[in-house]
Amino acid sequence: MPESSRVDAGRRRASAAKRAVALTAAGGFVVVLGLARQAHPGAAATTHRSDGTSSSGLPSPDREQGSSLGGGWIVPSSGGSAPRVRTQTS
Amino acid sequence: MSAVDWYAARAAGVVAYTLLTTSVLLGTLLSGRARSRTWPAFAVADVHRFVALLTGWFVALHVVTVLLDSVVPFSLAQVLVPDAASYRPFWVGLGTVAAELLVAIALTNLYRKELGFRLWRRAHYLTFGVWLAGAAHGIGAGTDASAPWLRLLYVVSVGGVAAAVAWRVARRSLDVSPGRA
Repeated sequence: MPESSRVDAGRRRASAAKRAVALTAAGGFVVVLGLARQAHPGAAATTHRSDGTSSSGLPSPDREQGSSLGGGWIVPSSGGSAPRVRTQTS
Repeated sequence: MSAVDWYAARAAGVVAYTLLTTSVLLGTLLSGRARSRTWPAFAVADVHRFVALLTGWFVALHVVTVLLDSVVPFSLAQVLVPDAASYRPFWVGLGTVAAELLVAIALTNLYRKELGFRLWRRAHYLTFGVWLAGAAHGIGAGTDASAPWLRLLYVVSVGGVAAAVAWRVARRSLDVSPGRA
C-alpha cells in the first residue's frame, strides 16, 4: 500500500473515530442524565410525612457537616400556633 | 427552579471522567508506542487530542451547571478554592484540584515548543494525578457513586488504566533491558 494512501486511510479512521467519540459523549450525557434523574428525582422524590414534615433525599450540606446535633429542621405551622421545631441528637 | 441543572452537573461529571479515562488510555498507548497497521501513531494522537479537548468541554459544563444548580448551591469561591465547599469539602476540593491541574496541563500543551519536550512530558504525567483525583472526587462527592452502573464504570475504568500502566511499565523495562545486558 502506498504511503500516501496509508496516511489518508489513517486520517479517515481518525476522523470517523472523533465523530463516534463526540456522538457517544453526547448520547452518554443524555443517558446518564436520565439515570441520575431516576436515582435521585429531586423535587419529584419529596416524601411527605404524616407529621407535616418532608424530605427529598437530596444531599444537604447540613447533613454533611458531621455536627453532633445532627442538624434539624423548622416546619412552618399550619395554624396560628408557633412553628414546630425539631432537632436531632446523637 | 427545576433540578435539571443538578442532573446535568452529575451527567457532565460522569461523561468528563469517562472521556478523561479514554484520553489517559490513548496517551498511555501512544507513549508505549503501541503499533498497529490500521491505526498509525498520528491518527491515535489526533483522536487523543480530540478526546482531551472534549474532556475539557465537559469539565467546563460540569463546573457551570454546578454553579447554576440550586439543589446543592455552590459559590464561585467554593468551586475555585479547594476545601471551601460546605458539601463534602475534601472530595469536592479534589475535583477542584483536578480541574485546575487539567487547565495547567492544557497550558503546557499550548506552549509545548517553548517548554521543550522533556518538561512538557513531565508535566503531562500529571494527567495521571488528574485522573486519580477525578475518580476519587466522583466516588467521594458523587451522589450516584453507590449506583451499580456507576460502580461498574469505576471498576472498568480503574482496571483499564491499571492494565495500561502495567503494560507501559513492562514495555519500558523490556526496552531498557537489552541496553543494560
